[in-house]
Amino acid sequence: MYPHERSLVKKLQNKPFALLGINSDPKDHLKEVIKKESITWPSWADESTDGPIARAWNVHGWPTTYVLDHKGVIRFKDLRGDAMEKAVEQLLAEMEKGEPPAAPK
Amino acid sequence: MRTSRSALAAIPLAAFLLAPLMTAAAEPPQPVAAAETYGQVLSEYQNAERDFSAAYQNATTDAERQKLFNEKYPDRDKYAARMVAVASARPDDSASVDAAAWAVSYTFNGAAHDAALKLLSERYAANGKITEAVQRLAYSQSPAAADALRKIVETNPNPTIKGYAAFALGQNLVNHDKSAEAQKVFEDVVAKYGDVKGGRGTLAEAAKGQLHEIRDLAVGKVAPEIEGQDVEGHPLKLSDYRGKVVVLDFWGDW
Repeated sequence: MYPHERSLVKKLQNKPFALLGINSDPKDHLKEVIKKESITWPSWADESTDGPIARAWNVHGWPTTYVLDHKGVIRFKDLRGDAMEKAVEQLLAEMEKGEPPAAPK
Repeated sequence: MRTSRSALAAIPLAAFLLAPLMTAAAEPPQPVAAAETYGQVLSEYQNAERDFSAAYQNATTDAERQKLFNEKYPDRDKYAARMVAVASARPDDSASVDAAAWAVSYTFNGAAHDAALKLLSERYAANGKITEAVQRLAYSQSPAAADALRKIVETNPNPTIKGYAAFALGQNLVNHDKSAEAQKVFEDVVAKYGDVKGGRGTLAEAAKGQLHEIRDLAVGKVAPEIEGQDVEGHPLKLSDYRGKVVVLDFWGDW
């Protein structure tokens, strides 16, 4: 997971893109991992798989991913790897073209 | 199709366990010796699984791991076919329900999965030993799984099994893109089996979580706010990232 995320963040560093983590490890462990794996993107410290954010988002499996467009609308769920990267690029292209994003339901 | 999410058990699946499940091919059941027992097939599988895990732990390169996968990962479809043969040979033996339950639990699709599903539905829907199997049926790719779960909900006398079967039915419908139908099922779980223990508390809480996900966290909805702190205690707020494409990644280091 980490190498792909690192390269995605690096590749899109000049684009209007953010990778945000919601981490379920104890804080001490999270601190170590951020250092050891050179993680540059922010993560909420949810502190356990039963943390408040995981609960609010009904997350029961890890990793779980959501891709949001620039209006904050959920556009994709549970994508990984190349499929996730393609989805992000599609949304960035939409944004650059000024296409209206899907209307919220 | 989401096969990696387990709502009743919050257990992260290691990638090496998950990958073969998602690519499980449909293979015809192998002809087997009818004299086998459930215990024999089970212990043979467990040994194969143990050997694989030990070898995997010792592997040092991706190439080695891939080779192990291809050569040593126990073929669950084949074991399931043998379990089906065991159950079919002596359907009234008390171990036969365990054999059929194993076969539906350890596969997602294929001939052996379908055969075991049929046995479970026709012979063992009211059995008290199918608690784990009904939960696994949430992830069955067979179109027959939903009807099998409905039959278990109707005929099983055990309220826990009824509740788990109803919850798994809702998950199965979600996985088959039938969210509207799933909502009704989860509402039913809250009303009828809400007190059954499961997930992070009760089935009522678990089913409400599922309803919230279907209604408020679906593609096309505005993502709810997330407000909290990073590991250093700095405030972090999702809405501050409006105007950017955002990937939310629920992750853990394991």
